[in-house]
Amino acid sequence: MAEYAAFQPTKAGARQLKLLEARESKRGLFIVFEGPDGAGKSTQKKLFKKWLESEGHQVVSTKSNSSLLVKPLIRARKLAHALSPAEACLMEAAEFRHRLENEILPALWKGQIVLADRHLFTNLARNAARGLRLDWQLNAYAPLFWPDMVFYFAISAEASIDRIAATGEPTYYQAGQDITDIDNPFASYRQFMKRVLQEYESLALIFRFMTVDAEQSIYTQHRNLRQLFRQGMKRPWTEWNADAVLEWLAHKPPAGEVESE
Amino acid sequence: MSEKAPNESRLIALEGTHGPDLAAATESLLRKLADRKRAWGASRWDASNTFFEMRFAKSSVPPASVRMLILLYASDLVFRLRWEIAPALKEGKLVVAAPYVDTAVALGVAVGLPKRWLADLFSFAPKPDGVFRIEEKKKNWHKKCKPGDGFVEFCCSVLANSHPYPDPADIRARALDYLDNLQEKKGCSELKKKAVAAICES
Repeated sequence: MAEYAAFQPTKAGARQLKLLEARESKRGLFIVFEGPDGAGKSTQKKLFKKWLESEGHQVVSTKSNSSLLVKPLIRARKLAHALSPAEACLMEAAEFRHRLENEILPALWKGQIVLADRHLFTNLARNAARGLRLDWQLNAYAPLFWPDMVFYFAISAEASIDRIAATGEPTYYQAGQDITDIDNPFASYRQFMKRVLQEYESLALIFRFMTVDAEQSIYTQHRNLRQLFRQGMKRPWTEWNADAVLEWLAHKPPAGEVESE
Repeated sequence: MSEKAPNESRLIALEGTHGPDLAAATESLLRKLADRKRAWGASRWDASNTFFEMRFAKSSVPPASVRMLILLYASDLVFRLRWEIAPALKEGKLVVAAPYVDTAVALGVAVGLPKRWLADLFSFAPKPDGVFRIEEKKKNWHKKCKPGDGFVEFCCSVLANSHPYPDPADIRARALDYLDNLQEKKGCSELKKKAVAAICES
């Protein structure tokens, strides 16, 4: 029977690591915009994208929970209020993997900059606030794919709720009503968001977030982003993301590119 | 579900790589339990309809990778534990989960996913009181996979279209190797007549 060594990225040989090293200078940057609802991530991402494009970069965007395969599954269960924290974590991890393999990695491999409106950190923070162990959640997302930079838009629970209230009321899961048992979505959100913010703080240390004060003016935040971007460093794939990239290459090699390296 | 009052709750895992054989073995075991007036419950693959719904994705949508399929199997198992297995156990029933954890682990190992990752992923699932593997018909291995037949068939039908995944017969053979190995280490037993009788008496 044939051996499927290609599926064993953790046993990557020197040849595979050389492939990643050779790609390092050509590959794109992966930049993540994270933070609570209402922090202004989407606005800043749009401004930042336009600026990068004006500087001559090719930029693509991706958004959390947008995989066409898994999004409908999650949506149906959320509408039915039938999603437990563990189910949510596993489905979100599958959704993330689908976008990573089919959107994020192909674009990065081609040298495009990828801007993500949330990566896995919001899911981790929310599900940890719901009582799920962080180590178990991180295992579900393994092999992890570390962004080069994470811009974290820091905002208080009160400011977050004020901004959400301006456009409507938080949804059942957004408000954490599945665990707070509070009927009023705003009151539930306030309580839930305090827990989520604590989890974000832990993640900020582990994943070295670059914090932006999201209560500053839009233009001040944008200028800060430019500065953080210029100071930012690439996380070399061979050191940080070898397992994730090699697993992807093993079963979705970019046409005509891998063999020629 | 049967109507007979319970005596002691038990969780029995039935594992196997051939969906139709697994379904037949499950039905046969449940009939025997019913004959002996043992209160039982059953939990089968895709109770949450996750995989059924995935079959309606547009053809332009890229297919799932094996890691994704395992994650979605785990989410289905969380659903089954929450809505089928735990409530039936609470009522004191003997619950047959077919498949449970080891079929998914066997498939994952068969395509090269790390055993450690699989073990950690399924650590949420309570240890069953007994793990049995069905007697599988080797001649069925080469049949064309129908995605609705079972989890392994569903995965094979998805993965068969993704270069360079091995063909379904190879995946099955490797998954069976895993189950053979598990059996050798006393991690499961074959579902033979004696085992069925013991389950019914438990």
